[in-house]
Amino acid sequence: MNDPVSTGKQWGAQSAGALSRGAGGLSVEGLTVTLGAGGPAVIDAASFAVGPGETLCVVGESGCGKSLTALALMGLLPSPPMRRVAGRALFQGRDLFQLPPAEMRALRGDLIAMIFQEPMTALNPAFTIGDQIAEAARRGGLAPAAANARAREMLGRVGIPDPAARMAAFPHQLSGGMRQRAMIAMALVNDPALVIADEPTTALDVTIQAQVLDLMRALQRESGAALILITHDLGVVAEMASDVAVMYAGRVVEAGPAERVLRDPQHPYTLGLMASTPGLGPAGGRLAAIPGLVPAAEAMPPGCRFAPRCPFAEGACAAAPPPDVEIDGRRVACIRAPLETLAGRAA
Amino acid sequence: MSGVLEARDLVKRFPAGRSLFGPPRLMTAVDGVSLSVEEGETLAIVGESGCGKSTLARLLIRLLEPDEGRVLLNGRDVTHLPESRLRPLRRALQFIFQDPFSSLNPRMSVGALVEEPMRAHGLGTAAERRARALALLARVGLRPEHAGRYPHEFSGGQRQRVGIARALATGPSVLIGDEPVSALDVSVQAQVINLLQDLKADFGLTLIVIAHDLGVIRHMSDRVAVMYLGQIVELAPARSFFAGPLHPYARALVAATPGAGGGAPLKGEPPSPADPPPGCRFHRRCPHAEPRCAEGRPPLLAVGEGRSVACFRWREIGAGPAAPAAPALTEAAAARFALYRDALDAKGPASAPQ
Repeated sequence: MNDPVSTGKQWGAQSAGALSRGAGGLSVEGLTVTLGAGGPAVIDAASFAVGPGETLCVVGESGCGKSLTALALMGLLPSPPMRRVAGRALFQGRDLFQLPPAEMRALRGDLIAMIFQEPMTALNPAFTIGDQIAEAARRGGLAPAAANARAREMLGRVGIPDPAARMAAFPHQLSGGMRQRAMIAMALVNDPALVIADEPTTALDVTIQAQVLDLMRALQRESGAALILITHDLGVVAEMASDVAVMYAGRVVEAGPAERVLRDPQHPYTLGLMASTPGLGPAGGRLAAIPGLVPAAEAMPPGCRFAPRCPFAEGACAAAPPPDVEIDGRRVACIRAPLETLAGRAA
Repeated sequence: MSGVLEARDLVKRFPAGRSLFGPPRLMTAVDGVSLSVEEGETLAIVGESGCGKSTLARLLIRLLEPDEGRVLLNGRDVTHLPESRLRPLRRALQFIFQDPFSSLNPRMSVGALVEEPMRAHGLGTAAERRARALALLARVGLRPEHAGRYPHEFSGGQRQRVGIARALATGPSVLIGDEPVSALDVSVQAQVINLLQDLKADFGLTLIVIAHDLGVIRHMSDRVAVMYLGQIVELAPARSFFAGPLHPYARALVAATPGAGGGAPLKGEPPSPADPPPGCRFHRRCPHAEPRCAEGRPPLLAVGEGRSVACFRWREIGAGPAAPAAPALTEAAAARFALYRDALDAKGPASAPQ
């Protein structure tokens, strides 16, 4: 398997003692998830890291494995059929993947929180949002009265007007934007050190999306939590990320500081993704669409998984998975990078 | 100047629940919209959920009856034509839906789906229809053997290609797409956008695109109409619009696009169309509002260079970009993109699915 090249970042290894609130990062190394025993790897040796107060965006299209990565980190993989067969996830000196189920359960919604795309499915329609947030706070160890006060305070902090009255609102009585704020309040109620957000603004209108992203940034500044933000939208990456990991068909194909990846993309898939996005790639003319489709899990190409769609692919690309190479502070999984050196060869 | 398709003071109301006693309440989804679609242009109608953009599109092609106002097709009033006389209109105006899967009959093969509109309009013989369906499928980038398959066997992008082939079957002059690419992943979305642009050129089509993604709109359209709570607040050529939107809502919308780095977001949420605020409908969220904005509704006024804006204060607010320019690519990256494009071109047309 690929030996991940370090990006010079290593989080989560510190403090081997008891788990604690507040700052702490996460390092994931070689995470591999297969579809059934011995089946195809739907996440293949994914490595990335995020530090306290930083935001790592995991970006890619449907089926690239970005949401599965989030579920794997939370210990929530649908298993069977999914099986985690390799990898480490260091958080406050412990490997999350080695924690007993009871300990992992205690961490979820407490030190590690998750925000989902559609709050309507994540919130219980039969309970008021006040009850649900207070319950999360009670799980974090607060007494009922303190938990209620804490829930009210969180609703205020996420910008829900008149929080005392909204405590009694059911999820369906809130707008989409307010529901997402309520879910953020619930996720952050126990002051988590790591927040994983899976497409948290995708279902929202653009001006509401801007409000929610702004809110998430502000809350993160206050708390210093590490944030893993899963998105398909390179615009959201530009807005939020300190670091980015670009995923394609279960592999991280390019990872590094967001500003550098967006201004100077190296991997042909990153180039294709940007050139396909109206307004992000070079201006004018036709969109340089990526031909073809993402491969199905059962039919993953043996070598580089992007090779069948890559205009730069050559024989060696289909032969073996490309090793990560380090270019200018980034990891790039492409044997032909940096591509501009091809210009001389082609001419 | 008269367009292919014209809306004059269109109003559409829907019942919005009812109280137990008393009359049913109404919400006004489209409130006095006038608009002319010019031949051969791509007009984008943009706005957030509930702004009335989809209702407007359905009014324009008579899928909905307006409560007030008129619709003109090639200068002819078609507002109150009975269904029996709408056939020429139905042939000339075709619709592309956001989710092609829910608009394609799962029990019909793709070939039959593309033939169906021709049969419904009594066009050609069975053999001619069959041949035309195959030609259209090829034109949208599907293979002949696809004609015998069923919608569930196709990916989202391929289904949208089927939806487009079906829309083209009757030889329309105007295509209306309601979020035609927003359900697709970005690489497939780019294929479909390229396809729509090619088809528009080949068939001399007029395109009306309803969308919320300003990146897509900027790339595709010649003119942009921005709607807010049932009204058009700004109508402008795309180039000048994106260089500097005039209406405060339009400016906020452009600035809110992720990655635009547009600064502090707009406060609050759009009010309910069932209970719109008096005066300018945007005034409660508008950073530039003053007392008169709450009193009278600002008319959509032509302000020169083909632009119209519905704001009392547009002159004082001033134009200029709504958001800072995106950081430039490095030189090496620009060279890489050029290589990527060349390598793609060498492999075949960019609208091809595979």
